[in-house]
Amino acid sequence: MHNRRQILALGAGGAALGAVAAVGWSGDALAGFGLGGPGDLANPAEIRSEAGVLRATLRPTLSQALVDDKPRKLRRYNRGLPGPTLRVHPGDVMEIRLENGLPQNPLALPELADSPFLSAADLCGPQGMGHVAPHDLNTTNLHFHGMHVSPKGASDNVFLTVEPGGAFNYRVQIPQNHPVGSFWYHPHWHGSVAAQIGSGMAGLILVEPEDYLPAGLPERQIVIQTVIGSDAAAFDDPRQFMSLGAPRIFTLNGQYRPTLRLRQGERQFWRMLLANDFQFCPLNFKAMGLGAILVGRDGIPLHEPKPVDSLLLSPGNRFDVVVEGLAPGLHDMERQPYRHGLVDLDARTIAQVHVEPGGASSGLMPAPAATPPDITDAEISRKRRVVLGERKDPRAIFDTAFTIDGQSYDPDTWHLTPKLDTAEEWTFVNTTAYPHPMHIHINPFQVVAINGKPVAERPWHDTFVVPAAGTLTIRSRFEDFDGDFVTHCHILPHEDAGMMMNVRILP
Amino acid sequence: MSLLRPTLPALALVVLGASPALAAPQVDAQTCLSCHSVDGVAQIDHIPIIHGQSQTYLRNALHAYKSGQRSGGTADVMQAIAQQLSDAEIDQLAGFFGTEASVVSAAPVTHLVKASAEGADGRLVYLTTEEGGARVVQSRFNHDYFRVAPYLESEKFLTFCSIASMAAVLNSYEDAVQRPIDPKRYPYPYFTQENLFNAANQQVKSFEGVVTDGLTLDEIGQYLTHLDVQPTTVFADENDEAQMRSVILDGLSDPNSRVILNYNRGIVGQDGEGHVSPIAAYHEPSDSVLVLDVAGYKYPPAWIPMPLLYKAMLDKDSASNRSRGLALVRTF
Repeated sequence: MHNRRQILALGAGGAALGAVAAVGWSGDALAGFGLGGPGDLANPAEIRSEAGVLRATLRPTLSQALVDDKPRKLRRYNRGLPGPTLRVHPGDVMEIRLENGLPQNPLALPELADSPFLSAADLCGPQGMGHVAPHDLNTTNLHFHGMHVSPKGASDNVFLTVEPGGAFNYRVQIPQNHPVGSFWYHPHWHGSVAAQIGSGMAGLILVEPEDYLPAGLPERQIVIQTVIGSDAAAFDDPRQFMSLGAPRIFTLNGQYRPTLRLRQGERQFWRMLLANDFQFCPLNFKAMGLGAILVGRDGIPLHEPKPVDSLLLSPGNRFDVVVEGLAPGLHDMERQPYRHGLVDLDARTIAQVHVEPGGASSGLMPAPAATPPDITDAEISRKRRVVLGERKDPRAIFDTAFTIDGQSYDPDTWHLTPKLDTAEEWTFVNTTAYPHPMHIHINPFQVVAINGKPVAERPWHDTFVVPAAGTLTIRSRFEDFDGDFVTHCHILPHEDAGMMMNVRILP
Repeated sequence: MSLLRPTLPALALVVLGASPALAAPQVDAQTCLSCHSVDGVAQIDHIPIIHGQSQTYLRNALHAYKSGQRSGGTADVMQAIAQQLSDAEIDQLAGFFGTEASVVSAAPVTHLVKASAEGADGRLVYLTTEEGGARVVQSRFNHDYFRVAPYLESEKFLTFCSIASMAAVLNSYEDAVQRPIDPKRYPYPYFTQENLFNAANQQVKSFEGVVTDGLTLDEIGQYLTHLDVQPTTVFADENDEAQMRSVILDGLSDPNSRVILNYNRGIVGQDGEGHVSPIAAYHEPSDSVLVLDVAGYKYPPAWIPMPLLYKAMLDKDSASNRSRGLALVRTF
C-alpha cells in the first residue's frame, strides 16, 4: 500500500524528515516531528493574529482544482481546499476582508429557462423560487460557525450580502471569556450555501491562549470535505448538488485518501472538522490503531477529557481529540456506515493511518480550559417546541421544501425570540424520515435528551442531530449578545430548501 | 419523487386487505408512509407498522396524540402531526391504513393459489411450469417477453399495477425513449414507479389518487402521452375477440410496440378484480396470451386463453363505467 514517496520517507527516518522543507507545517512545535513531511498529510495554510489582531483576506473564486486526480470546478477561498486556518486568542479582533472573486450571477430571465444554450447554473437566478431553492450561487457572505460573538453589524451577521466583484470588511471582536477550541468559517448566504460550502468554501478557526499547546504535542488539523464526484461542474447544477444520492469524494485537507503518520505511543492533537453540506462521518479510532482522548466538542472543552472509541461527525461538527498510536501498522480510516433515516450511507475508506513502531508516549495534553456551567432546571425561563417538517412545493428542486414550525424560511418572521440573559429549553420534533443536524448560531447548547431519554453527560454542541422521526431536547443560555441570527439544518440542501428560521435575542 | 427525501416507501403485501374504494384522505398519506412503511416494514427503529392495524386502534391513537394524552419523547413527533388533523381526517386515515382483515390471514390464501401449478381452475398455465416455459420457446410472438420481462418490477402498492406496467414497458424501450434520472439510480436514466408521476401526470391523477383508486384504461392512455410515447387505447366492448387478438399480435410483432392489458383477473380465475399488466407473448397452438403479472407477490406470469382473456377485458370498470381492454404503446 505504500507509494514511492512514503517508502522514501520511511527509509529516511525521523531525523531526515526534520530537515525537509517545512511545507504546510503549522507551527514550530512540529519541527521535531514528521508531521506534514513527505508522505504525510499537511495542515492547511495558517494565518495567526498578531498583537491582538488577525488580519486576513478571504477571496473566493471559481476555478479548477484537482481532486482525486480529476479537475473539478470548485468555489474556494484563496484557491485552497480548504481555506486557510485562522489562529486567534480570546480577546483578539478578527479583521477579515471578504473579496468576492466569484463570477457574476447570470441574469435570470424566466423565458430563458427552456433555452438549450444555457446551463443549469446560468438559470439559477431568483426566478420566484422564494426561499426553497438555490439561487445566485455566486453571492456570498461569512459566518463564524460556533463562535460566541456579536451577530450584528460587521460581526457574525449572516444577513449581509456580498455580490460578485464586491467586498466587505468583517470585524469580529472575540470576547475574553470565549471558549477555547475549534470553530470554522464558511459562507451563509441563503440560496448559495450548499453550492459554496459543498464545493469547499470553509476553513478552521482555532481560538486558544498563547500557552495552550505544550511543546512536543504536534497539532494535526483535519478538515474533512465531501465534494461531489459525478461531474466537473456538479456545484453549478442544483439537481446534482441538491441530491442526496450524488456521489461524494471525501478529502482531508483537500487530499484524496491521504496517509496520516504517527509513531507507536506518540501523541498528536487532532482538530477535526467535518466542513461539508451533506454526509455524516462516524469514525472509529480503535479501528485506526489509535487510542483517543476527547478534549472538546464543537469548540467547547469537556469538564474532564475522556477516552472515546468512536465519534459521530455530523455536518458542521468539530472534535478536538488527543490520539495516541497504539497498534503499529497501516490502518484504514473508515467513514463507518451510517443509517440516514431510510437510507444507508456505506462504509468508506477516507484515509490511512500509519502507526510506525518505535515511539514513546509523551503523555502530553493541551492546557485545561473552562467549560460553561451546566444549565440548571431553575435557569429555564421557557420551553419551546420546534417542529421540523417537509412539504411539496413546485418551486423547490425535486418539489420538496423543508419547514420549521410549518413554514419554509421567511426572512421577515420571528417566532423564536428569547430574552438576553435567560436560558431556554427547546425540543426539536422531527416529523420527517431523515435525521437533521440542527445548528444554532452564536450560543452553544447542551443536549439534555434524545427521543425523550435524558442524556446524562449533557454534552455541549452547536450542531447536533435530531433523529429521524424523533426528538432532540437542548438547553441554551443567551448571553452577552442580543440581536438576530438563525437556526437551521446543517444538511445544507435542506437549509437552501427552507429548513431555517430566524432567532431574535431581545435586549 | 424527490432527492432530498431519500426514498418513497414501497408498500406491498401489508395492504392486501385495504379496499381501493376507500376515499382518499385529505391529508397527505405519503407523510405517514415516509416513516411508517417501506415494503410494509418500517425501517426506523422505533417506528411501528400501521398497515393492517385495527381502525379503532389507529383512530384512538391519533386522538390521543392530538389531545396530548400521548406525548413526550418520540410521541411528540406524532403529536405535532396529529394536531394538524381534523376528526374527519383522523377517521379517513384510520380507514385508509387500518383494515379489519389481517395480513396474516390474507396472505396464505393467495400463495396457495400461486402454488397451484395450473392455476385456480386449470385453465391458466403459469410461466413457472414446464408447459409455461415451453410455450415461450415455441411462440413466434415472444420478442416482447425478452424485452419487457427484464424490466418487470412488482407494483409498489396494491393499486399500482398500471404504474408498474408502464414503468416496465417504458424501460424496455431503453434509450429509444427519454427516461428521467431517478435520484437513487443517478446518473442512470430509468423509469420508476415514482418518477412516472411527472407534473403533467399529476394533473391527470395525483400520486395519492392513484394510491387510492389506481388508473382506468383511459387514464393510462393519458399518462402515456406525457411519457414520450404514443399510446392507443382499445376498448373490448368496441371490438370483437378477433379484433382484440389482432391488436395484440400487431403489438407483439412490431419491435417499436408494446401491449398493456387491462382485465378483470377474477374472471380468469385468479384472486382479485381489475388489474393491469404487460402482455409478453402469444402462443398460437393454445391460442393463449402470456401476461407478465406485476403483482409477482401473488402470481407468476400466466398464459391465459384468448377467449377467457377477452371476457376478462369486457368487464366494466366501475371507475370509468367503460369496458377494459388494451393500451398499445408505440415510440415516435
